[in-house]
Amino acid sequence: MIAEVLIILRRCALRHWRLAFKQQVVLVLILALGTGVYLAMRLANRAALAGFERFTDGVTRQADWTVQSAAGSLPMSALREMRDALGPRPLHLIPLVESTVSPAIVEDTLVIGSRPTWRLVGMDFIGLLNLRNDAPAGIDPRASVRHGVLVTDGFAKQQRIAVGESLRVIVNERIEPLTIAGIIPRIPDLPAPPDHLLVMDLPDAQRLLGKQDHIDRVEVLAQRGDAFPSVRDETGALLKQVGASRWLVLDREDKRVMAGTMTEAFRLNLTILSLLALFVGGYLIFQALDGVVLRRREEIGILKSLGITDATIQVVFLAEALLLGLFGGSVGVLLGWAGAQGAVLAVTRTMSALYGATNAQHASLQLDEVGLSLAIAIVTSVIAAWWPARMAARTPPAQMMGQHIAPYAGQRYGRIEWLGALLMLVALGLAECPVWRWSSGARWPLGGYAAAGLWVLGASLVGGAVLRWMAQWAKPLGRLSAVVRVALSHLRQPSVRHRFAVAALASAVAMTAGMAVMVASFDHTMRSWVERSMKADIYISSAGAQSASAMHGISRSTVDALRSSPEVSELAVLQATQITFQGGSTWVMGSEPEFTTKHQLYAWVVAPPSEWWHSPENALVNESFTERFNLHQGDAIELPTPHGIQHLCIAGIYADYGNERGSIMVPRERFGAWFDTDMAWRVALMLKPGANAESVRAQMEATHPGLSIFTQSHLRSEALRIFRQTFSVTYALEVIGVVVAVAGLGLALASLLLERREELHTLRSLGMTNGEIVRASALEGLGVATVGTGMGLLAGLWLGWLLIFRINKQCFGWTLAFDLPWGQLAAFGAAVISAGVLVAAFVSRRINHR
Amino acid sequence: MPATLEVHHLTKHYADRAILREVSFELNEGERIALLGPSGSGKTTLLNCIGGVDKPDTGRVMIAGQELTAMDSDGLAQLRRRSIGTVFQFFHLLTTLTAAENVELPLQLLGIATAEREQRVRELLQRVGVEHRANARPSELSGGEMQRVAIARAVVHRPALILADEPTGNLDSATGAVVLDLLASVVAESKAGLLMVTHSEEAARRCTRVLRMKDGAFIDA
Repeated sequence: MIAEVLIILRRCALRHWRLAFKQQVVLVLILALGTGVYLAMRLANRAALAGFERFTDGVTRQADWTVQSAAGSLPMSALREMRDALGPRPLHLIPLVESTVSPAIVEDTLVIGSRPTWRLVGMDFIGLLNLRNDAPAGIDPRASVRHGVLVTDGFAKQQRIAVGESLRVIVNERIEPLTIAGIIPRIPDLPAPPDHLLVMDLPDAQRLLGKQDHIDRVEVLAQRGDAFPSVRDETGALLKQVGASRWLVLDREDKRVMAGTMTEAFRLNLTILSLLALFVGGYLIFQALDGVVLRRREEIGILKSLGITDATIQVVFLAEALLLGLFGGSVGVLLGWAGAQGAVLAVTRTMSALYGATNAQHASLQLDEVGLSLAIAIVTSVIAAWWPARMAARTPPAQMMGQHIAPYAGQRYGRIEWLGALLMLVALGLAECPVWRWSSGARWPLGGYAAAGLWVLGASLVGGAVLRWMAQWAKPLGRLSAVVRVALSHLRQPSVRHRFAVAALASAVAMTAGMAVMVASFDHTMRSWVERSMKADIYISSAGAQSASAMHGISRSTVDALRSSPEVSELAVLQATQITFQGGSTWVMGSEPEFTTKHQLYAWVVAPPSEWWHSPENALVNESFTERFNLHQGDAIELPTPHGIQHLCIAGIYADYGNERGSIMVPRERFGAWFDTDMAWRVALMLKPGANAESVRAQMEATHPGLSIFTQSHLRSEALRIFRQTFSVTYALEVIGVVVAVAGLGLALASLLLERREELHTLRSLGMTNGEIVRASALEGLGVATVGTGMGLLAGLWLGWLLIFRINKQCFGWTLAFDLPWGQLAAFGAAVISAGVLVAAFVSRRINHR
Repeated sequence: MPATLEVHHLTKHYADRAILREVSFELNEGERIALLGPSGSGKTTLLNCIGGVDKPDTGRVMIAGQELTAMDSDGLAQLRRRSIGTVFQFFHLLTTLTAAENVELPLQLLGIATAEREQRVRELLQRVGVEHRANARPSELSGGEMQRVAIARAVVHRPALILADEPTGNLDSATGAVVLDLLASVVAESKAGLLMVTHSEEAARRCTRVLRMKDGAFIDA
């Protein structure tokens, strides 16, 4: 059989490739596009995520253990304690402090996220020199001049700065000059340090960042050798034992999981959307190969009459699809790699705005991702070819070679339609499944995703029945004209190709409509929330805080200076820190409850008792926190702080669309005492009546160049801009989905018309003009497009509900108000239907004129 | 009064091969001509050129006084719609329409009112003996029934010329004989001219004239 397959492939199938070269190129490009989008998203995700994970690996090497406080920073005494506990073991302990910093001068300071963000890491240079034996760090202790930093060669080139020159950065609210003391050398066998890394000697960095006598974490590296595994394991156990509840001991996998968990929901959504691109690519391949089988049916019939078995015919088509997948996948890998270079900037920008500084500029080609993409391309192509190959194999030779081809009757699809209805019912049940929770707090709404998939699939299968019912209902219209009669007669007995076209269109429209409903609801909710929670006239943060996660603060003296401004009537401070709670990263905030209550800044999900702040154990949490850690009003929280565990009780739950990692809110006085800080994270100002917010803002910005100062209206519009930015990739992929579905409709109609060549001949013999035949096909396209779009829109409404009230709630913990963008959906539906009719008319015209 | 069909010096080549060589003949009202000849003699090509679905290289075809060769695609469609009825070897009924709808379609193309259409279809289905199968789809009909419906469709709009391409080629001999009798009588009633391509001498005997073709030309015209 293999020999037969190879002969037919070489003598027949591949010759068709050569004869219809353009068509093959289009097929390869379709598959390449799907694979490319998928790979680009994967590589971009991975590059952006690597920015969180391993940015110091190029200077040290990947630590075996990382020790960090669950709350805030570790005192230097903890380092001594660790050294004492570990004794003379062959280990290196590298204490670190780190922060993000931004350049002091940029063109547009009022666009959040417009400043580049760099990672400033303070390392003990002398300690690093000790690493030389097994991982030569190459750090020059002479760099330990005041505010001297080592940068990468790439950074120096990007910033056009040389050793000895000065670089002005924003640290908290101050502008500090740093001196370029040297270039971080490349160390063989270690990954290149990222270009956004600035390295400073530890004591100097501690002074600069205001973390005297504190460190953020300790990297522990066991010396390589025979005893390495046992030393490493022993070290981990000892560190955990000594630290007890005061610090966390994380291995490489823990760190990877923590970094991954932070952006889990965002990346999961992107991956699913990129798989969608591949799915629609597969659909086009299916339609195209279906057409190929139709065009070659005579040849297939001849081969069968010459004694080639059905199985061989099927294998030949599948082998052809495999080759197509291989070529398409290979081109897709190149496209994906190129696309990733563009996508990485968009993904990094969104991740940076939402989660913190990651500064990936390039996505490198990863072998495992290449392998996965190629495999997916091949599998997609083979799956897409399965039905056409089966059809080629099963159709009798006489029918293949004959002039009269029996159409595919509709009656036998009754069971599939019932299956579709059943899948929709199962989806309704799955929507009620609880979220899958990981120990780190990550949540996968598997029930929700399965419900979405089954709902769309079910609606697609039911679409065939709706098409039939619609055509049956419209049958009296057939009396109006022969064109209408012919078109409706085909829709009353829809073939499998009609059904596939309806299904694909319904799927693409449902997903787009569902997303549109979700985005509109999100937009509506965000606007209401922004209006409610952003009532102050002016908002202030450090200009170094370029993301929602950046921890730069404003000192008490600066806050006092702002308060003393004659136009200010009220000032409120918000403090914040990030902690590790139940294995996941979350926020603790210190607020001024009297201020927030007076101005009604909170939208309550569950309202707390009035003046809740008088009870010392009471705390508020946001909705994401309760969803993420599965907690409710009245539940107890054990909050880790540098002063030990604080036992709190959830007094109320507030809506917060600003972060998905959750936050615990306590009165500012308690926060300051627990975390030993009076630094403000955000400052809100109420101005006296008559004061002009814009002029006050400009005046304050001139006085405090290290601060970002926003008027209420500007901050509101920035918040909405960042929110909309997160959906930009989604929109692009949805558009691809719909375009492909409409193109698929065209291919499906092309196959139908090819199959009905004899009918076209008969219609012409009966006196139908070409224009009438084209109109009949366009009407057929109108029917398919209307039913596909209608089913898609209807399915999209429930999908929108599912995304809003189940998937989004389980992923991010946000309650959204349902909002239907009627106008947008109507315009979208009309556009898809019009496109479907035009494509149908175009295809019919082309085939009719052959 | 012009002849129903006039064919003058028709030639047709595929590549360098001559399919039709200077073919000329006339067919008058009510006349039935059988076109006989071996495979490849040019019968079907001649029929296609007369039906306006293929174009001759040179020569003229006139149907009811109208010259086909001067018409554009829409003009040809209009001529086929009004003046020609076709019966095919493989019936070529539209599979998604019922028997009655298939017969009704030519009338609908002509814009005839619904009531008149329905009456004519009913009468004609009764005439060809398949009125009881009016609502059946082609896949539910036997070969003989399908060809009866096809004959009804070919004459329902009262064309001047009926073209039949091997109308019994896909039927058993008994059914074929019945269909031929039916075709002959229906054509006679409608006073249309009939040009029938056939291999069958039996079929040819039912016609008023026989034209034999060989290598693209008539051998005893």
